[in-house]
Amino acid sequence: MSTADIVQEAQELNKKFSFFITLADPKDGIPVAVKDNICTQGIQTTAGSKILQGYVPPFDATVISRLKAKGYSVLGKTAMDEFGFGTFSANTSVIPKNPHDPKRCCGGSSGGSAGYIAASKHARFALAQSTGGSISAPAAFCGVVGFTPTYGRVSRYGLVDYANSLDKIGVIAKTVRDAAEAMGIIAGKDEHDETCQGEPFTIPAKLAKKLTIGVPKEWLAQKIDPEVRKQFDAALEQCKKLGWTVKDVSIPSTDYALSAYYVIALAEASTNLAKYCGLRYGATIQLEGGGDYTAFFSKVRGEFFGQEAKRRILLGTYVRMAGYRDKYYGQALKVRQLLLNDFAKAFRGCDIIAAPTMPIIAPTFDDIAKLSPLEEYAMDTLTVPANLAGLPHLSVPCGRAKGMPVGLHFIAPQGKDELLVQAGEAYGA
Amino acid sequence: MALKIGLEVHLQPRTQSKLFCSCAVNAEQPNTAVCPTCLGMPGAKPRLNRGAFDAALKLALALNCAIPPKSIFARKTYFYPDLAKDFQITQFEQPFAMDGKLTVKEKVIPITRIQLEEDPASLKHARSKDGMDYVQIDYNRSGTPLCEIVTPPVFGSPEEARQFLEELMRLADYIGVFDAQAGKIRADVNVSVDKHVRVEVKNVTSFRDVERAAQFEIIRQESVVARGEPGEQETRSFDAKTGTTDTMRTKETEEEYGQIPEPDLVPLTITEKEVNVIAAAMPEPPHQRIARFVKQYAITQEQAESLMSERALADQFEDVAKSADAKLAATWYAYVQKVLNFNSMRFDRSGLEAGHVAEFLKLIAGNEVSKRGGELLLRELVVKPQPARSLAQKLGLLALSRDETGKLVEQALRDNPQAVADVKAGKEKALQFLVGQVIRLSRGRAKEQDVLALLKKALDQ
Amino acid sequence: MNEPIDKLARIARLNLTKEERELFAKQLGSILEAFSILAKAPTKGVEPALHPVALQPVRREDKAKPGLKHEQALANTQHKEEGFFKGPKVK
Repeated sequence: MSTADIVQEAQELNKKFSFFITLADPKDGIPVAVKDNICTQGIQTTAGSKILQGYVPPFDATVISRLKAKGYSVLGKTAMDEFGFGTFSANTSVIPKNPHDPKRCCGGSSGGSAGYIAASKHARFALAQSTGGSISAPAAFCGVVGFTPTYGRVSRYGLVDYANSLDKIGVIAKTVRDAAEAMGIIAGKDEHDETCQGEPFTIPAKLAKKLTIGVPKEWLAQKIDPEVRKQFDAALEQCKKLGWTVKDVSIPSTDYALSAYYVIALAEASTNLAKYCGLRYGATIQLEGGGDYTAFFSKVRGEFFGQEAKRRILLGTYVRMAGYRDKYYGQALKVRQLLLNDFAKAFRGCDIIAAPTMPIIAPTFDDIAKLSPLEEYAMDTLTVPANLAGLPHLSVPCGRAKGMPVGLHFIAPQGKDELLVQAGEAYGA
Repeated sequence: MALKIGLEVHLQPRTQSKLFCSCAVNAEQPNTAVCPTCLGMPGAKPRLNRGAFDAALKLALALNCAIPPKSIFARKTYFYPDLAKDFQITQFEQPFAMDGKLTVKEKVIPITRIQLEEDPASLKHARSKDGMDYVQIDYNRSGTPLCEIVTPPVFGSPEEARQFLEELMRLADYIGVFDAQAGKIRADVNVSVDKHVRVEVKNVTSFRDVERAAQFEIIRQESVVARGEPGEQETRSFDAKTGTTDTMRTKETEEEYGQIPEPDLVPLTITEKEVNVIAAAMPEPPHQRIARFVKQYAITQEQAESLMSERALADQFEDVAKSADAKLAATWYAYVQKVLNFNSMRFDRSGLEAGHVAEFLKLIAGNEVSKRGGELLLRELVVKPQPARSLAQKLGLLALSRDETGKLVEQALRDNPQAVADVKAGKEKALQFLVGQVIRLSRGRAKEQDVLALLKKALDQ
Repeated sequence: MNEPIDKLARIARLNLTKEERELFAKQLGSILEAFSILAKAPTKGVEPALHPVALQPVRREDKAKPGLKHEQALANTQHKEEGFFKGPKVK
């Protein structure tokens, strides 16, 4: 299996499933697929948005530098929801199709990476990124492994920002071991990112102890497809067969988590996206006839942002305006602390928290078109709590429902990423 | 009419690199000291410059500020071509220093707050051949650290505002945080006359212009108030050529900035230990040192204040005063400063050493160089520091020996027989005349007491 | 929602089509309504969490380092001349 084989396979898969926005043509190294919001020097990086069409970064993200130092090269940039805004990788122009059923989505926002790993014979892992569940969701929908590390464990330098206190770069892989090896390369403190202070990743020894699994009762009380639920229950039985204990835990602030997540994410995103105004890079218009600076910026941004991006920018702008900031943004930051407290308390009684990754199987594109924004946001209720709390989480395949993959979600306390690897491997993923 | 003037002063502290990236500050060729961070490129991240923070902390301590243990940076979002990210990283609810004061001419001016923030890029207006107006942007300035020092509207006159600014710059220079000669400041001047709403005049770039801008605003606002109108709350710009202010844009209300804490930066924690380390390294505060100089060295207030214009100058004075007469030293250091000003030089870049000055003062005290000769000597010495005696010799400024003077005395007596006769006749003035003649013959190099003694000796015979 | 769509769009510098304006005017209200559940959260005495993890103070040494080459900085835009970036007029 050579570099050329991987490149050729990627090109063929791309024709069928549109996993890639940009396919590079590396001549050596082990080519790795990289989500398109991670900057790659010399290779177009658009974050799935028209407004960054043609943007070629003059620098590599830290994770890319670290991979290159270990003999990897960039295969291409995978499709994603614009700036990460979505759960289906459908809010964008290059929309990846689920290899298990091309009428269905790959999930989002790391859809291209997940679809590619599911379909590829050669690839072991791809780089992905999560803000509210964008690694877990597509991993679950595509039947592969999704590993999201503790916030601050992997450098965000070179990651096109969605929400700075929520974004994490992680890995979508064939197996938990593949994910762990990738994490071993990319994780660890980075001087380029003040918030990246985590330890390097060490691949742990085989799990020795018997784990106690906590299942949050508030999460299981939410609307979950019964077929999905059936697979989850079967997964719990499998855990018990391993000698693990399964018990109920409580995350009382569950009801507020989704709103708190969106308010924080959108407030931060609306400031992160202010820089896209047609001046130094990306899509633009002529200065002649473009009007003064206000008209020019408004025209560029109006023309090149997608609808979901605009919606989120408007919402994010609102929730941090002086008159509303305390009620929304300020309150959401406090709810994050409530959630952190809830998790800390729950973890006193268990080692790992488990739940279904997503409440549904991958929807069809027709069904997606019928969803309102709020209905799409609500798809994140099971992945958001771990993401808001910056906890490491792992989605592993657990059976099928209606022929489509279902994901099992493991969540560990902060910094216990290695425990997730042990649990995932012991489970058999 | 009631007059309220307040200042927001932006002062660039001395650093090597920018506030949130390692690009050099003050680069000249456009867009040559830039990186993904200060260009606002996607994926770039800010990283706080410790040197900038330490400099800001020094300034805050010199201004007697309280330093809260925690401080955060905030994103202030607005859209302008000079703002690389279309938000500025500044400080909002929790600045790093508050409630300080600066005494200016015996009036205590409160300092509301000091915050650290990044400078936007520099903009130049341009027009194309086809008549299209546009801007040229240089991001070298983008990300430069700024200390923003805010006062309440306590200045009762434009002059007071100017004096405050002068004193602030002097103090900042003194503690080594700012170059008062080359360093840049920008002030926003808030003026409200009587019932007129507060108007902000932005980006005034010298302390003289601060006074002029305030003066113009007062006149303008007075006429508005006289018409019975409350005036418009707005932001105005200052035209240094005409000395007038003009509407810039309507002042954006606070809600449009939508400030949130900067999530890419770790909140600043400042321990008491860190503050103490900085405080211990601070020099004796200027006003205290001035008082001590006056007392300890018996020099005048004016002389002491003059010595305080640069810390290095005051330091060298004290060093020299260990071996030389302090009053003499103070007098001559004033002349040193005259020479420096004439040459637009800073003392701490002149290379003039304590040894040079000490040697110079010895020559003066020993009458080996006259006062006039001393001035000439110092002019050279300041510009090209070197051992004073050999320079004096080279320039022909060293006083004549007694023998050499004697020869000139003889010549003067020969050349002026009438004066000799007058002296012998008891006319005092004639003696002075003869002294002057000898001095003239010596081109100022004869020691006056030698001349007098030799003349008297010769004439008594 | 207590602000007109046009005001928000102006603050955010977003030109909206007529359809977008109508769509957002409808949607934003109900989305914000959903978010207002936050008011019910028991946050009395709770500190806001800016980050989900504890972060240690980090400070960079004050040393200048070369960044991008001049050509690299300007490479991604057509709006440039004589070493400057070009931008729209500001009044």
